[in-house]
Amino acid sequence: MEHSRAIAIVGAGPAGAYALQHVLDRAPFPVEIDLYDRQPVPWGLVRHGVAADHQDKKRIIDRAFEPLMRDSRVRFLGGVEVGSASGFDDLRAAYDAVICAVGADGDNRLHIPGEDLPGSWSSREFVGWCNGDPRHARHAVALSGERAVIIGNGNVALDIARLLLRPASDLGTTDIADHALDVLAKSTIREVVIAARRGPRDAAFHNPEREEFGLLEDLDVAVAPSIGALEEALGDPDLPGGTRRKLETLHALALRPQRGTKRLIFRFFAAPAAICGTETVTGIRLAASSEPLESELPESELPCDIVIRATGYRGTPRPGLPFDPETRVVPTQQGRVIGSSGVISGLYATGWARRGCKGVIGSNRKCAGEVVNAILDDLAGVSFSTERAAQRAAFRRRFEASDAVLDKAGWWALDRAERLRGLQRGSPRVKFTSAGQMVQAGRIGR
Amino acid sequence: MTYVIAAPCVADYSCVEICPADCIGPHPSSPEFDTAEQLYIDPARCISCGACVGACPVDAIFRHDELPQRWRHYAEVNRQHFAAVSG
Repeated sequence: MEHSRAIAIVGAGPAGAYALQHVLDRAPFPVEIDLYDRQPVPWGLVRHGVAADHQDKKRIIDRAFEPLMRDSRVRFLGGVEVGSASGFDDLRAAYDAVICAVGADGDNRLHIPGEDLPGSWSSREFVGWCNGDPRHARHAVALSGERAVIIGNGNVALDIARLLLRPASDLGTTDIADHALDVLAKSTIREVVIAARRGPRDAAFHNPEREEFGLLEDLDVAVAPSIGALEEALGDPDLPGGTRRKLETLHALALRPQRGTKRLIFRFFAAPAAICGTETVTGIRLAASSEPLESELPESELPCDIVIRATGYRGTPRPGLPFDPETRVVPTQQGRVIGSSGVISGLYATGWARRGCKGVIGSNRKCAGEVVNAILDDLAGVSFSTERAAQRAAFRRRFEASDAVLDKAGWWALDRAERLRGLQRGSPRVKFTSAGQMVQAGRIGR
Repeated sequence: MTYVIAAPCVADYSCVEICPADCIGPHPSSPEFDTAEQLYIDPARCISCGACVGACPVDAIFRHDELPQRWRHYAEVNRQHFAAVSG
């Protein structure tokens, strides 16, 4: 009988999950796959990044990802940080193929004074806080004052604006973290400004995200510096169709009679110059960026108690992995990782770690498909190695004995516990928000 | 009669794989896929078999006359996508 090829996938977010899907669906030989994540829980940004009021997108977990975990060829090891105790080289000595699906840990900074004041948050911190990511659940987020300013106008910026402007009662039926729901329920914020350096043609948000504001009843939408910026773009016959649709509906929203108690302002051509305040954020100074429209936008200070930087993510170097500082990704050719002396055998990368921080959830499926093509080709000729098998057995024993690591039975026990807590609240689940709580829930119930 | 892909789409493209009429785009093999917000069904080529509905892992696909109120306009959005491509 043909021997099994052993694969390690590092990162159980959508990148790793789709790689797992391709391998399980397509491998023409027996495979055993160990799925690692540094968190005790799988599914990465689908669990901790997708907005709480986008529960429909999160269905992908139950429909596409969980069935993979149920396959008997798959082991889960949650709570293992590859690169600290054991690195990628150690994994390559234990598996026939190692797939790096670690995403991107860095944030694009603004490099302005006051960026690190209390009250200034990266979107990673704020979204992680809302979604109960153990690394961000304990941030002291306060929603005081009347205004919040968000820098950047991509989907993440709009998700955050929507959560801040939606009635908190809407969120009670989602899986938003308890502590976030409490703080949102007490929020005094009535106005959110989404400020972007460039103009409407370059607005990064997608149509569905922009449409959702039209469904919030008590909300007025405005465009700054003036609606002329939109009209000028719409008047261009060469404006691409997708952009036209985005701007047309934004235009229609901005022309609605203004009688809500809350306001959302899309501010274009505004670059953040400084975040103001001594002990905490008290405001932000925005300056005209390099493309003023009809009038110079003087530097203006907007009072606010919270600024959220939603200016995108970036890859960072990881121990044991090559890194291209220009493109900020792990360099690959068809998914095979390239080191200083060429292709590194048995090492692959997929997802944001390979492509950079772009695309939608499904982009990872296409990306993983390409990488798994290379892996299946390479594994066809690989013969069984007793050394690798012995190393693998040693890893598994070590991690299974660890108090801080969950296997799939442990994850399912934790998952059940969260769903039960959700029943009490009338939501799909109430998340555990510390690694300690997660591991405890996982071990008690299994 | 046609089916329509609405807002929850995450471009997973299981629908593309199951569609017998090859009427869903942009196809993952095309460069347009990499910058697409979502996938779209061409109403001129859809044969209304409904296979895509079950394949979609986020329940983004609806029969044209069963679209929820807030997504009714997606019928036109899907149609427009192919009108722009061919026109």
